[in-house]
Amino acid sequence: MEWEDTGLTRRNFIKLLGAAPASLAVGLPPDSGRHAKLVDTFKCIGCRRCMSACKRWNKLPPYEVPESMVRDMDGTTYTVVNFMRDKRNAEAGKFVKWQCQHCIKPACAGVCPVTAITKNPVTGAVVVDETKCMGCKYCYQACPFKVPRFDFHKRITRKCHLCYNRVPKIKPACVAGCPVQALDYGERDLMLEKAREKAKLVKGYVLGEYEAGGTDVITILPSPPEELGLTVAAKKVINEDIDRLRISSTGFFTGAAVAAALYLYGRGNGGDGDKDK
Amino acid sequence: MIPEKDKIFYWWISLLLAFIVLGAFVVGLSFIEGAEILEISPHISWSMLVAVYVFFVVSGSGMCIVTSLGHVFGIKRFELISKRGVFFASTAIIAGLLAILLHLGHVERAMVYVYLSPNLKSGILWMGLFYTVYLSFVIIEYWLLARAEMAKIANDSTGYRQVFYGLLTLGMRDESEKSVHLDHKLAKMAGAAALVTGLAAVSTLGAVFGHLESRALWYGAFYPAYFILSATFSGLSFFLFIIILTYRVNGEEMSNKLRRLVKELGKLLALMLSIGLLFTAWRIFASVSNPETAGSIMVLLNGPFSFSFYVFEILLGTVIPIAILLSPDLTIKKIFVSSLLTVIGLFVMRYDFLTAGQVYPGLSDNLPSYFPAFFEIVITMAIIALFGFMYTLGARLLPMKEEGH
Repeated sequence: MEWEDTGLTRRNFIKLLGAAPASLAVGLPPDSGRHAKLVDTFKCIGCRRCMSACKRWNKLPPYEVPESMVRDMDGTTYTVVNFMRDKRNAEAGKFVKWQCQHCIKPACAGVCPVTAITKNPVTGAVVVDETKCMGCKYCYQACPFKVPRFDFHKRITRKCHLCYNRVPKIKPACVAGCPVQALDYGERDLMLEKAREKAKLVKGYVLGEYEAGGTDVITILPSPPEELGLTVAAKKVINEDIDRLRISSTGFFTGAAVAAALYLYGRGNGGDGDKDK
Repeated sequence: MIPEKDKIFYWWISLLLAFIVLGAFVVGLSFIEGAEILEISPHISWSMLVAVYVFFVVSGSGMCIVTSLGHVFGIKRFELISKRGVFFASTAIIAGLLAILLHLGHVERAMVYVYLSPNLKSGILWMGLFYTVYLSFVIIEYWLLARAEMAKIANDSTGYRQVFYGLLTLGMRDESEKSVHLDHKLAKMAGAAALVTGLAAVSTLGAVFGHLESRALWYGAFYPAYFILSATFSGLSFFLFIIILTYRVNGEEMSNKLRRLVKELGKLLALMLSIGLLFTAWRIFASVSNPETAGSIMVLLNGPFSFSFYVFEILLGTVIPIAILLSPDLTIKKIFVSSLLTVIGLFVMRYDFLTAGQVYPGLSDNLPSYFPAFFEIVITMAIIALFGFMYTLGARLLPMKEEGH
């Protein structure tokens, strides 16, 4: 095989080698073809056209704004925009677009008993197969961002699918619908670089670089998510296989110990005495 | 003229049937109107039905552990309750599994895709698998324990009674000592298989919660182990309540042997509850001292769940029953009261465990509140009624009397 065939030049190869340890540390494959969505809250004007673009593309019923005016995702609302105020600085606040963060290592896909959730490593989309989902809602429990919502009429879990039926050829509906270019979609490395530059400039925070081991939605926030009242995810891969194995095995060892104790009790005749023998 | 005892029986069965029909109606309605009539909050996506499921299947697993002492591990005095215990376990598991199937959005897909595209790393997959296999073993175990008696009834009677019991024996109406011996041998094997799968099932159920790193209250290796422990006192208390109630309602006297065994089981319940209390205390200290989990346990200790935690789980469900069961002159009545208290406390415990685990961490600093929807309560009542219905019919028609061997 020629080097050119794989697109792996000598220079890229050395770059890859350099990136490998860092990528391994967060459990990511050292690829650069991955795509991601960029949300710039500093550009967002809160028009919520992304919400309606999403509804239109996915043929979802219109959103009914609750009395509290705080918009929350539901089975037929994949993304919401809310004005989030900084807890420490009441003056500072931004419209924040909230949706599935499309984790690189999605916890939801890991727990789904019927493999209805899959991750596309190139487009970044974490997609629920709506013909497979059995509606157990385990994905919601596992999600570090508490995103997947149950559609009570279709009886399945639904969420943003990063317009897997548009990307990468056409940008996601929300990105295409944004009138001020607050949203973007492209190679993750590029998006991350843009986000870091902007964050440096405005002294902001890049959400999605490390959260849940890295996500394919990158949001430039004015301050860290906990100060804006957003759901906070740990900065590591959630629900690693080895960790789940550790937890399950505790149960199995306990079970084995209980069975052994019962056996020994029975062998000692369990205090039945000789009279019953 | 129907005798007084039968009158009560028919009234009771009709009442249970009424609840079951009502529940079935609500389930039907949820398909027409949408499943939101069953669940109010999208943030408490595992609601009442999951608590009912956990309560029943854990009790079922626990009783299997206790009954295995008899015909699996060969402790003669425990064999007295083998049949009733195993039958109780199977009805409890059927009721529990029904609750979880009703909770699923698409049961039919669950049946298909667990085979077509299983995710072997998913706790729910293994839990479902273990509980299904376990249920089959428990049913086989009961059948083997009861076959000879059913064959005897079939052989000794005529008419529809003969047909009914003949069908139950699946045509194997041999009563000879040899066949009874074979039954016992096979029942021991089925019981051992049930014990292994039952332990695996209940610990996997704990692991379904334990795996969830995003839920601080549930996460970790504690629950797979604790579910096995809690299964023993859950199963024991529920079983003691049921067996004493059965004898009381039927107006029958317990034999001295059974009396002694029930008292021993009562003491065992006290022991298991005490160990459970130690586990809970350890869990609390470990959680409070860890900043990552302190918030989640505080929801129980000093939050919206504190009343039901202290009053129902600790006081009514654990401390008072232990105190009663350890009193010097232990009577059957006392065991009945304490087992009932434990059952109530445990039901509240499962419910709290489930909802408290989901409210923390809250969204935008607000804990979402949850109280079961009216229709959800109706379905819960229907499932409890179904358990009662299956058990009542079984206790009347099937062999499970505690008679000496």
